[in-house]
Amino acid sequence: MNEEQGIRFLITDDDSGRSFALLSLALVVGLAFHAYTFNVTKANDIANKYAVDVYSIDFEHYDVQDSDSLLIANGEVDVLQLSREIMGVDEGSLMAQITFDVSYSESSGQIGDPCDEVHASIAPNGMEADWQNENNILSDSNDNCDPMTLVVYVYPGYVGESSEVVGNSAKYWNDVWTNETYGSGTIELEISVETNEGPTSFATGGDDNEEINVQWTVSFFEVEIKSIPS
Amino acid sequence: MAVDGLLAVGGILSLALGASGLILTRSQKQEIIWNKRFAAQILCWIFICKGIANGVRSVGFEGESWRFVLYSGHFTDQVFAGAVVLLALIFPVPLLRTKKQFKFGALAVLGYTLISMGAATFISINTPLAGLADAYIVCGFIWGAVYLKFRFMSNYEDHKEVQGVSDVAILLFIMVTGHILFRWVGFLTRSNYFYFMDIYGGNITSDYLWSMGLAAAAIFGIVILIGEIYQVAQGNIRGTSYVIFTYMIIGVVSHIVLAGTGLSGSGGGTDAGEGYTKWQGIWTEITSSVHFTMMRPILGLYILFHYGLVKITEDNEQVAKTMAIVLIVVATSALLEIIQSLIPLTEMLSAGILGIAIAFGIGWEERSFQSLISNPLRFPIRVKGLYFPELEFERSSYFALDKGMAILIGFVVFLAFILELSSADPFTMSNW
Repeated sequence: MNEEQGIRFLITDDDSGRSFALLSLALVVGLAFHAYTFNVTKANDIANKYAVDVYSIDFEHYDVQDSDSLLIANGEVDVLQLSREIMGVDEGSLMAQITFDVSYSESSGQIGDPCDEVHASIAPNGMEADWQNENNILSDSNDNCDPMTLVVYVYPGYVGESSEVVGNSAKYWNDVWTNETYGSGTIELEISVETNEGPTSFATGGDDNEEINVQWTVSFFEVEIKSIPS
Repeated sequence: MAVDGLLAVGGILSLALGASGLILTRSQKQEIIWNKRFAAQILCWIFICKGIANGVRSVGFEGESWRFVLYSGHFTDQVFAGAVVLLALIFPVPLLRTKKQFKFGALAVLGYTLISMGAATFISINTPLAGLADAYIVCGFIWGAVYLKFRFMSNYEDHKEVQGVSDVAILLFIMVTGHILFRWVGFLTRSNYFYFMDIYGGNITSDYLWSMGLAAAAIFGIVILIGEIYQVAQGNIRGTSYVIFTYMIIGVVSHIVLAGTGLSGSGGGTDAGEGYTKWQGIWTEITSSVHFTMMRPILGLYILFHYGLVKITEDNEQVAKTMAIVLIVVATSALLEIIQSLIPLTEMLSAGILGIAIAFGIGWEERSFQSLISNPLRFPIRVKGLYFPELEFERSSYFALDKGMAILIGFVVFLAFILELSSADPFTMSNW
């Protein structure tokens, strides 16, 4: 093999091998940098890149309660409004659910006067809530003076129990559980009364209104998200 | 357009280029120097391999035949990697300088490719021996060295033929590694979006070797960038300078877009990773994926015609024109599809733009085709003839290469089919 047929000729001709040497040097230095980065600096990150993070999500909840009394005339509708402002809680409070306990008794004082017919309902708007939740009880009515309970689940997915979740980031889960939009706005409980006349009403005067007691309980929660070491 | 759709379009483009290029090489009547002739054939087979790999992978891994998709994609990529190394060994400057060296080199590459396939079949598809990244190191080094030698050759700074060799070395390098150049900044800044790229994952040695290959591509890209900045400072700017500047600048922008991302997915960063935002996914699609699927065939077409790997005469001009039109029109319409998926357009508007785009594509072809083929760049044989040894090969030798490649590709697809039927587990050898 003559000289022109060898690789050595290609390397050294014209530039005495400077191109080859320069490129080799760049490659060696570059790959050394890469090896150090891959095997030392980022070794842990690379080894754990497919490790799925696990987070514990703990809730602490507290209730705010109050009650109101409404005197509603026969055939009339009265509305009880509730919002963070009305309750006097912080705008950033995370609201889990709202429960209205509606109770009444026949208050006309007439002998044999039957219970009035009371209808309570919550309009599925006004407040940002989990209106599609199957466990919501948005309306009820009765005419036997039994108490009624209406429930609105406000924060989607909240069941109040601590849990462990897999994947995503702490920020992601924090965003999921600190959405202050839920619970914003005003919820309205509408109550209507249809009085039932007793047998002696013609003598004692008509039963033309009813006093309705409403006790509302609003559950709030705070959330703590911690990464569980794998 | 989803990335899968892009892969399908890229597969069609690559197959079209490869097949029509092979027809052209067989039908051409003019004599061409041996290394260009072999390079044309190898380039065509490279695109056929990539066409099959991209086409098969566009189906996705969710179907029942995921093993076939995985194995056939991997095997054809291994043939692709071997062919790229063989191409670098003979073109533009032949490192294999005698017939004996050429035969030995070709057999060595074939042997290594078969050993790699054997490792993928009998050990694991992600074993280090079955890796693919060494191709980036070998071809990048060869083309980088050729670039440096010819671009900086004393007294030949303005010599069209000498500088043409450095140009084709840059273009070949970009054609193979362009999608990696979009992440070169991440290599230096130690970013996750670069160092988390792996090959299938699960084997740290394989991942390291793969990452090393990507790093080598970034290193060669940086060397070429510095070389071109120096040449521009000297007033020697060339068309290929703009190409490398464009790719490297996109790399800088990519760093801004992708910084802070985590998993980058398997491969060379042509897919968006799991944690990518919508915008990061779109950016990856319009840069890396577009290069990987569409720019490669376009660059291949340019290299084939502009550097005289295929000589176009009256006999084969029609085939060449059809090939160029198909490539340009499909690539143009696919690009528009991507734009459409990013910008909401009405159907009427998008149809109008598509018409204009295709007309523009064909118009470009009409105007540029003649200049592309009529004056193919010659190599500096008169002034630097020793770099380009003249060897005589029988016509049967060229046909033998085609036959060998066809048999090899047919074999690997059949092997993938057998492995699919056998329900082989690609990641362990427990089945064997």
